[in-house]
Amino acid sequence: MKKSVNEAWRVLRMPCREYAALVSRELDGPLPLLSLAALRTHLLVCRSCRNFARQIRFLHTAVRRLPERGPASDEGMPEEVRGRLRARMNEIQP
Amino acid sequence: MSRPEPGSLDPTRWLDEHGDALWRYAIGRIRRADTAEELVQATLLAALEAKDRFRGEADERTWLVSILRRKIADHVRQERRREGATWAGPEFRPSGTWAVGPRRWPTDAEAMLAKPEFWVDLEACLGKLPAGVAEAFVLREVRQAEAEAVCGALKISAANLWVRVHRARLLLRRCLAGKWAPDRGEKGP
Repeated sequence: MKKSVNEAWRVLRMPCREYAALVSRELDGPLPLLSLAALRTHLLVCRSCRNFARQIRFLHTAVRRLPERGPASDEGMPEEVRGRLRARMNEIQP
Repeated sequence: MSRPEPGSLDPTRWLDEHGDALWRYAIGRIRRADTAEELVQATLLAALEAKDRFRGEADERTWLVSILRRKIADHVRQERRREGATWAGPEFRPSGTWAVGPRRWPTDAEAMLAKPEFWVDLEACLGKLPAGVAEAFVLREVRQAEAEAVCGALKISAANLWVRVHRARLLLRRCLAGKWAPDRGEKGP
C-alpha cells in the first residue's frame, strides 16, 4: 500500500518533461493506469503540455500519410500565381 | 532563346515566357508555394528596376534566373538565422519544466493537412533531424515497421529505439512550431 502511495506521489510530482515522454509513449501503446490518470490530470492543468500533446498526436497521424504523397511536382507556375503576379506587375508598370 | 533589345524588356512577357522556368527553379529549391511566389515576384521587381542595365549580354532567362538565385540565397540566409534562434537551447530546463512552452498552432489539424506548405515544411523538418534519429523515426513512424524489425535493422535496443523516436517527435514538433507558431517563453505549472 505504502509503495503504491509513494508511486502515485512520484508520478503526480513529475515535471513536464516526464509528461511529454508519457504523451509520446501513449502513441506506442497503452499506458499503465496510474500513468494514464496522472497524464490526464496534468493535461487538464498545463496548457503547454496540452498544446504539446495535441501537436505530437497530430504529427503522429500526419507522418503516416507521407508515403502516399509523391515528391513535389515539377509542373510549371500555377495559373492563379501567374494571375496574381501579372496583376501586381501591371500595378507597378501599367 | 531570345536576346531582345534592352528597351523591349517587359515584365508581363517575362511571366509568359519565363514564369514556368522561374517557378520550377524556385519551388525546386524552396519547396514552398507561398515563398516561391514571393521570390519570383521579388525577382521580377528587381529585374524591372535593373532593366536599363540589362545589356543583353546573357539571354533574358539566364539573367532572370541569376537574380532569382540571389533572392533565394538571401531568403535561405534569413531563414537559417530565424530558425537558428528557434532551435537553439534545450526543450526543458534542468528542473524538467518547459524552457519554451508549446503554443497553440493557428490552424486546426484538418486545415493544416490540406495545406501543401505544411507537407513541404514537414519534409524540410524531417530532413533536418540528426541522421540516427531520422533513420529510426522514418522506419518506425513513417513506414510503420514493427519495433523489433527496426531494432534489428539498426542493431539497437528497444529502449534506444524509443529514445530516438521520442527525440525525433520533439525535434519535429519544435521545427514545425518554429514555422507555424513560435513557442513562447512560458513556464510549465
